[in-house]
Amino acid sequence: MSQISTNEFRPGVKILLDNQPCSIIENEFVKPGKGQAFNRVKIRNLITDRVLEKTFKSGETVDSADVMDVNMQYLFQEGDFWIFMDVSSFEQMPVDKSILADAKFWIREQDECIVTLFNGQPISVTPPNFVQLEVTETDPGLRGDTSSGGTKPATLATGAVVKVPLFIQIGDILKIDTRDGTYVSRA
Amino acid sequence: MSILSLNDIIRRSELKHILREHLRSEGLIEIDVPCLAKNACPDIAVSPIPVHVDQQTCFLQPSPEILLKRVLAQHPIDCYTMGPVFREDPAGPIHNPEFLMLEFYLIGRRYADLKEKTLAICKLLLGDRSIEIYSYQDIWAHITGVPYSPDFDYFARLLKNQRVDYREDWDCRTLEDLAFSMICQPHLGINVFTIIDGFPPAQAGLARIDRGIACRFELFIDGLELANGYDELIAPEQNKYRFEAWNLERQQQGLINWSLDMHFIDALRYLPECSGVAIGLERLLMLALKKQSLEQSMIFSWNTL
Repeated sequence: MSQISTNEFRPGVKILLDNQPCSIIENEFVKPGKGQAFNRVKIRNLITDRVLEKTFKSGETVDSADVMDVNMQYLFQEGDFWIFMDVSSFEQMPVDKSILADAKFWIREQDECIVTLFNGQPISVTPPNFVQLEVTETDPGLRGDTSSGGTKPATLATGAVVKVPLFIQIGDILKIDTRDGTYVSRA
Repeated sequence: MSILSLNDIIRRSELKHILREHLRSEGLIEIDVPCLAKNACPDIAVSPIPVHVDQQTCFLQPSPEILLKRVLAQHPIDCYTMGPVFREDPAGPIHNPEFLMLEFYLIGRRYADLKEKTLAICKLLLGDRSIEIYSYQDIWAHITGVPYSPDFDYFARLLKNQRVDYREDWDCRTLEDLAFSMICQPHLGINVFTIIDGFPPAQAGLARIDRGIACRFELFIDGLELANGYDELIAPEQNKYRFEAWNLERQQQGLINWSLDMHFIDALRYLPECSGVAIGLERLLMLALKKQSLEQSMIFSWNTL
């Protein structure tokens, strides 16, 4: 396994901590006038998605993590597995529903996602930042009310529920920001 | 990323001019020493940058100290040097591999004078502030409320309380450095000039040790370490001993180990009693320009190169 020194810590670099793959978010160099220098590193555990702060002695080395982001197209669901296809090799890969987490609320068949692999196994799925989904259920809206600023819940084709303006009707296609699950506009 | 604005370039130039005028009026003469030399101080706390010149390993100087002391051994005179120094530290908001340092020396037993003059320089560039002075030992109690007791558990508890991650297999000294940087330092020099005066012998650097206390001070402004001054260690044998101890530590850490600078050790026989201080001029200019990071105050920051 390859080693990586604290001098090479940059945002996005993947390292192995307690056998779990982590991604570096921030790396701050700390040094007292006379004494040991440290790197205070903000890290995201890619399995649990938790962010933690770790301290390293400057110059220390750690194992790098074999983590790859691969563009894959979502094909179809089969029981608890969602089947993706690598768009460059056309190889198919089943991804457990639990790994999809919130991503399953936003993607439909044919959508292209980023599947993150650790030692070749999927650990997370990132949907496109913006998706377009149809409203399947919502209270009748007030036509023409485009400015009052009130909101109501609407259920989308994928089962996700988002807050939408009052004028939205069943059958409308909405643009959604998947990073925070918010309504952007009518598509 | 672009080059510093012309306004700020002019202000830097003016501030340096003011400084030089001031130092001159104080009777200090400016002495230039090389940035590139065949040797460097092996101080474990700084990492000189090795370069290859004429088929040998030389060093971009991490401090003008060694070469200035050689000048002083021959010509005992109050003097300063203002120029770039180099350290193999990663660039960041308050670190840059190359930065300006102002280092000055006063001949004779004038350690108290050294502190006064250092503060006067900071006042000149930053305006007046009140001054607080603590010993290294007292600052811990002042900041944390728990009296200083330099053992592993003391530092481990402080770090835990502040949720600063550390490793159980690190030694006490490492924890102490981490706790000082993360817990004490951010509170030092907030709206005041904070001087920490008198350090444990293990942190003596090249300062004289008097009755178990290293005659060394550090000045902090806005949570930044700005200056580091010594009542200089003269005794050649003791200097040699500290160099050898650092080299041993370097060896243990797998760092470059270098031969003793015999020119320096020889010169020490003639070095007069003196005190000297290194001021992080680059940081001082950053504060004087009211900037948040060196990237905003250096003409070329690391990222523009």
